[in-house]
Amino acid sequence: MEWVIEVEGLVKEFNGRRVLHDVTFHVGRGEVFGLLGPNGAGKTTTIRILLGLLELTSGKALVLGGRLSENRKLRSRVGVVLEGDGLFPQLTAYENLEFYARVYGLKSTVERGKRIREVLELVGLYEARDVRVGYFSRGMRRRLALARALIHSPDVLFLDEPTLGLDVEGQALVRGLVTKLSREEGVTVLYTSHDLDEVERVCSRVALLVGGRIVASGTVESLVSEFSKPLVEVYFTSIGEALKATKYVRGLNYVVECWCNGKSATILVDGNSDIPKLVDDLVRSGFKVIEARRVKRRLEEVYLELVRKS
Amino acid sequence: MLLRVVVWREFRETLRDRSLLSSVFSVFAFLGMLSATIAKIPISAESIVFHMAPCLGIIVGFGLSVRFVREKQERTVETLLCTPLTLRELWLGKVVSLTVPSHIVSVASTLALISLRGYTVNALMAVYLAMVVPVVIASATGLLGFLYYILGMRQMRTLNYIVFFTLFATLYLVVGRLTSPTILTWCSASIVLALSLVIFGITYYQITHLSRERIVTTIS
Repeated sequence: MEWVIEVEGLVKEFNGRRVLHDVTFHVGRGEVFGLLGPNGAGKTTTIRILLGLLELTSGKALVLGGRLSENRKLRSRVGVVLEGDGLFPQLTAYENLEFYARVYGLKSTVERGKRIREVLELVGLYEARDVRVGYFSRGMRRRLALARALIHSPDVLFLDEPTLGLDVEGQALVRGLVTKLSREEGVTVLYTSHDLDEVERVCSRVALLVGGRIVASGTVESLVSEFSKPLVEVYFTSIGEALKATKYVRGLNYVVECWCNGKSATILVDGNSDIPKLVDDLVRSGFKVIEARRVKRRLEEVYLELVRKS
Repeated sequence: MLLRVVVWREFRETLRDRSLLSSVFSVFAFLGMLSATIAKIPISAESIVFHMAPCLGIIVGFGLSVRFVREKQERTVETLLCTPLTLRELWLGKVVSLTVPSHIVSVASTLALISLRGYTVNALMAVYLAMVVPVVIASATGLLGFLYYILGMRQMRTLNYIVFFTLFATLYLVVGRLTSPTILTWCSASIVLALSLVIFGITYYQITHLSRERIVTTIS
């Protein structure tokens, strides 16, 4: 596979203090790669190193085969949405995009105008094109920042919490856009967000960074199945039956945790145990089981478990 | 080419920036008061040109240079450094766009003060105002911009206080020297020009070799 982003053995130290320890991951063309982690885990530092804003102490951090800090041409193939929106409050939305379009080399006025209209319509801000950005709400500025990052049709997008401050509609718009860009135009996206639900929907692969180290990486499904214990929901005939069953299963050696929700019991079992064995034990002990099903684990649960462990 | 794009954007911003208006107002208010205070004292026109014109230009430039700080505070500089623009182009674009309005205000106010006193402008004064003053302003705003890039937010505030009080102390000294015999000669003008060019050159070199990391790590 052709790697668009290559990070190998990346180490970063600030005044002798190591903040990134041997970080390694690769992102292929058209992939949406999620970089997850709690505050201070090193996500932004990793992105800044890739963007050439910070120097690396050792290792490799390449985008499109080179270092962005040393290559002006490579920088023109990359779009970014960072913590700051990178917009000029005294200029209108149109003027802001016009500036960036010219910086990225869109020379013809007609071509520029067409592209600005396209991206403004894409983020739903065409009607506000002549309004100064200083009068924009936080959400509008974030949308315009996304339009700015797309103005030159980049090959790679770095999105550092792009939905921060956006309403539900805006978040859906960003998710839709990212998915469309990666699938239809083959744009590679490096995505960070604290909203794991969003990451689960958008990213094809993720890496979890804790304390400057990658503690897990892979597809969302593989992480969920690899790192989470099976969660089973068992339905009984009455609340009393469910309460009794809850008490009973707590005594089983392969049950990690169990709690009662009305007529059902949610049971967290050991990774090596299976559902039929649990149901079998319950039935043998005289409980009337109506239904038992495996609950699909969410990335968020895996994330919390891994962060706690790390 | 990209420098032109930066200058174009900077000019638009400068013209819409309220700090330009407040700087111009401060300069004209100061000159109005000065004019009234020294109405009956014989002053040297060449002294006004030699001392006052660069000083007023630097004051306006200092007022406008807040844009360097704002760009850093709002992290816009981080995004700009991810574009094909170089730090040198960003810095130079800002210096040009701050120097031009500061120079216009400085020359206009100096000429107003001179004409109010009934003096005329000679060739040396004209050359000094047209060629030396903008270089002095550019070197001062350029140096200030460079310092804003490398300093942290708290250090920047300290720098602002230092520059503010230094400018006022200089202005006080300049006003005191307006009655003294002129020192504006071709030689003194050349020395001022050369000194400014050296400061500008050193700053330009430093900016070319300034690491992006230094700017990014001093943002917060």
